[in-house]
Amino acid sequence: MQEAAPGPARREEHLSLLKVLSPVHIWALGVGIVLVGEFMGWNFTVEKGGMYGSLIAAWVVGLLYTSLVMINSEITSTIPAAGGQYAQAKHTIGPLMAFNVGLYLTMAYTMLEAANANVLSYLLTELSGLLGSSQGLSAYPFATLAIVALAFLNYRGVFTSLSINFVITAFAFLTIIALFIGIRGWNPGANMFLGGLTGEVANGLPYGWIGVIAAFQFGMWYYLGIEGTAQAAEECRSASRSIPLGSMAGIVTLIIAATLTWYVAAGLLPWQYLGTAITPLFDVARVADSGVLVVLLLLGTLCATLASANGCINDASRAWFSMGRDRYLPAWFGAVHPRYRTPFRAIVFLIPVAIAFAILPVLLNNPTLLSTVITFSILSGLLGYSFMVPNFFRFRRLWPLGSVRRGYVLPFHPLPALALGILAALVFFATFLGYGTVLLSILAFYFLASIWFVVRRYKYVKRGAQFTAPLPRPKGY
Amino acid sequence: MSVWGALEIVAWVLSAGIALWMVADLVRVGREYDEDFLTTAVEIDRVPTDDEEGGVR
Repeated sequence: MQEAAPGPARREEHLSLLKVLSPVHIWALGVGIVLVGEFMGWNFTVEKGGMYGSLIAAWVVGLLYTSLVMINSEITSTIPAAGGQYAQAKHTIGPLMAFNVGLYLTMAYTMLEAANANVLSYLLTELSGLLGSSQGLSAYPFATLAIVALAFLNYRGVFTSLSINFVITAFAFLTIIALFIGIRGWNPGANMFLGGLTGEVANGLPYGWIGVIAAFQFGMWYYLGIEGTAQAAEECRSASRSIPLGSMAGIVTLIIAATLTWYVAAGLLPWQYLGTAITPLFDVARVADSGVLVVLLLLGTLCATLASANGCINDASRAWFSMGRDRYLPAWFGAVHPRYRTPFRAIVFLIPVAIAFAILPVLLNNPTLLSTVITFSILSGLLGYSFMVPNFFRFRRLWPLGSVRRGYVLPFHPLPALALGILAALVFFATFLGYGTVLLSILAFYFLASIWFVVRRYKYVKRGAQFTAPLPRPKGY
Repeated sequence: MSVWGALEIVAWVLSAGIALWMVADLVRVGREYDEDFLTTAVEIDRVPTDDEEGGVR
């Protein structure tokens, strides 16, 4: 890959983010954020719904995300702006929804980044224990270093940061394939015990269908963050090609990874253990009793965590930057670095926020705070998904097929949009079953933020410049 | 001091060094360039054209 040459922009020019990304980078951004979910987190679906419940969740929630990616691909290839879904909402609905979507995106990615940094510290602590250290490793310095170092990469340029993301994401994905090959997954009778599946039917669906629905909430771990590909649209050499290609390849990769992950874990670990394991794939490698697989999976887990945190920094900063650029937030955040052509102030501003969320659960000695941080991230994402349904219907009404050139056309409209809406509602219900209070608290938070926006910020919004995409006049206007 | 203890200190020093570099660069850019220039980035300067590969109306 050829390094782009960011240089000082001439002062008479208008700055812009550097357009250097290709489909490979988009794949790396989308899959990179998500893949950590196959290494940890997805297995809570097993606790809620059993082995089969987990597989059903993987595929049903996979359908939700496939619909989402297809919708994203059509709108973003037409409106290739940083901020992704925020820019979509700005063009199709209006400022209040755009502000909310921008805030969901920033919170979802920043919280996920914090959780990743926290997990990275945990992994290093485990590693030090495996290497014979008796001293308990402090979580603070490594979580802080991970966030600061990745932010530095993002500060210096999007091309390098996403090229690195491609390498570590591809490596992490290959470790899952290596695990499948290592345990001879094509021959279930060889090494696999299928302990969770054989025997009683109750092993597969221990809590019946309500358990399956409850599992949907954690089924999001298999794919949460793939929608972030839209954030990089403004930095693509050709968004109309890169976004659909990179995003579709990403969701295909994730569905394969989710299915493989479920298969190897279901084959080697009993469901009662799997449902509460912290690092399930690493545990599979340990059970497989292969030193090479243990090392590979440990490295894979570390790489997946780093890739996720890196992608989150990229996406959160683009959402925050876009809101600053449109004056939804103070204009100071909407600055582009004249040399590196990155949203440098947004990147730096979000560093202490992420560090605070990463180390607070440790500082307060309250592990449940980490799960609250993760739930906040998931629910923020989910709120954004449900808003995409009316966004897309309106987008098609304002700019019907034939009126504007699209990089990708969503087939079978309105079925994917309806599927997205119905499945998002189902996941909301599942979340309410498990985290009702958190769900209501988060809704209250966004409601208060909306009031703040209407009362204090709306007067600064560049209302005449909402339609920043050079599209024809919308139908009916 | 154990190896892991030393690594913790290295992690703190590296974090502080990188953070200071970013803040210093952020301040330098703010002083060197006009604020209007920095904060008026073009959002979308082109849309897919009819010649572009893969696009459809």
